[in-house]
Order: sequence, then structure tokens, then C-alpha cells
Amino acid sequence: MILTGNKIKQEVLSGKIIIDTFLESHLTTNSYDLTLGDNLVAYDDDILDPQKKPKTHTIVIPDEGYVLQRGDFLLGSSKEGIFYWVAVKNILAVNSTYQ
Amino acid sequence: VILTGSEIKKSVECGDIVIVPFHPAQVNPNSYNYRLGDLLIFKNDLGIYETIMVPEEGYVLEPHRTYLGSTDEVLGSKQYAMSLIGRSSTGRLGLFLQVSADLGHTGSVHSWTLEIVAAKKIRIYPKMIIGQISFWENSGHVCPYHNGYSNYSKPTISRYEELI
Repeated sequence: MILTGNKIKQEVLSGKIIIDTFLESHLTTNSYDLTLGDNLVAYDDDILDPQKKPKTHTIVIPDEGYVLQRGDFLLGSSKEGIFYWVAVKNILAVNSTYQ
Repeated sequence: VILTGSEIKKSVECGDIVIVPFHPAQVNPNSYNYRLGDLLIFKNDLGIYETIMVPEEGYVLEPHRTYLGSTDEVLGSKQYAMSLIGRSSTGRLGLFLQVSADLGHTGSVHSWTLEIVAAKKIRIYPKMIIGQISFWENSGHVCPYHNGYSNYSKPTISRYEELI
């Protein structure tokens, strides 16, 4: 089962879903549009090894934009924080061994 | 409806889900973490399929190449449909699995072929946790899947030409 946009709005108003910052104009039929946060993370290692902590650097996306090159692999994040109250404890329990 | 971890465990115990070997520590809130099997198939620079055994010290995957591996476990269910996906922990390293075909049909029980693509060079290890499988209740009468790739339990290349 999937929530409709209207239901997402109801759940935000009742506090079951937290979207911070919530803008009604970002609601769609069955989803909520996210915006890109300001930072990107790039890996420095030539060969990634899941058994070792990778070296990274952070790129701050300037106002005029940042050009992604073909073959780039970067991590970004949503600007919004999103929580569903019953799911929070589950999310926190998920192990992320290779992060 | 997607099964919770505790429901996956119960279904394994009663036989509605097959996961061999099964380790309760690999159960997630809505999935089970599967491991990478020992064999990899890929097309080498000459365009010929090569099969390698992933050594203990690991094997480096190159970007822009598709590798076929398999789940170390035998996984499946005659009761539930399945989705085989990667893990966020490996996705964040640019290691992608089952990019376009993640549906496991009800009735398939085997070691699944994994389609593996790396965005950056990455070292993989035999039996590393590489993805997760979720189980979904069916709505409607089930006609179990007997054909296709479910008869194979090692990395299996495309048989698309047989469809033509």
C-alpha cells in the first residue's frame, strides 16, 4: 500500500510524518518532492574497499551550480529531514557496515 | 504488504520461505541480508565470457563493466513474491545490484544471479553481505514460476536470444 499526497499531508499535520521543511507545493500524487542539500561527498580512494574506512572530501555546491562530470560518483543528501514516527526506531536499528 | 523481519523468520521456520543457510543476525526490519557467492562472470576485453573464483583477498571490479555473480544462499518462496535489491551501505560505495530487474517471481527457489555494476573501482570479497531480499504477499491466485532462470543456481548469462 502506498500513501497518496493528500494522506501524506494529513500525516504531516497530525505529526506522524515529519518533513522539515514541509511545503505543500512539493506534494505530488503519491510522493513528496525533495530538494538537494548543499554538500556533496566525493571519494578520494582509487579503489574502494568495503573493509576499510574510505577517504572523502566535501564539495559545497556554489549558488551558480556545480557541473557533474560523466563517470563521477558523489553522495548528496536531501535538504529536508524526513521521519515517520513508527519507523524511526527501525531506521536507527539498521546496521550500515560499509558506510 | 511487505513482510517484517520477524515474519520472515517465522516463515523460514515453517517452510514458506527458503533461506539456506539462515542466520537470524542477517534479518532486517523488512528484509534479509544475503551474501555474495564465490563465482563471477564477465565479458573480458576480447568480448569473451570469463568465469573467475573470487579469492579470499578480494577482487577489484572495474567501472563500465557488468559482472554476474550469485547469492551465496539458496533463497525463495512458493508463497511470496520477492524483491532482490542492494544495500544502502554498498550503494553508497557506488556498487549497484539488479539495477532494472529486481523482481523475484513467486515459486523461484535457488541461488539468484546478481547483476553487478560498479561506479568506481571497488574490491569485493567472497561471502560479503552484498544485498537484501524482501518478501511480498500476493494479491490474487498464484501461478508459480517454474521456468527461466529459476532453474539455475550459479551466475547465468542472458538467454534473451531464446525469447526471439
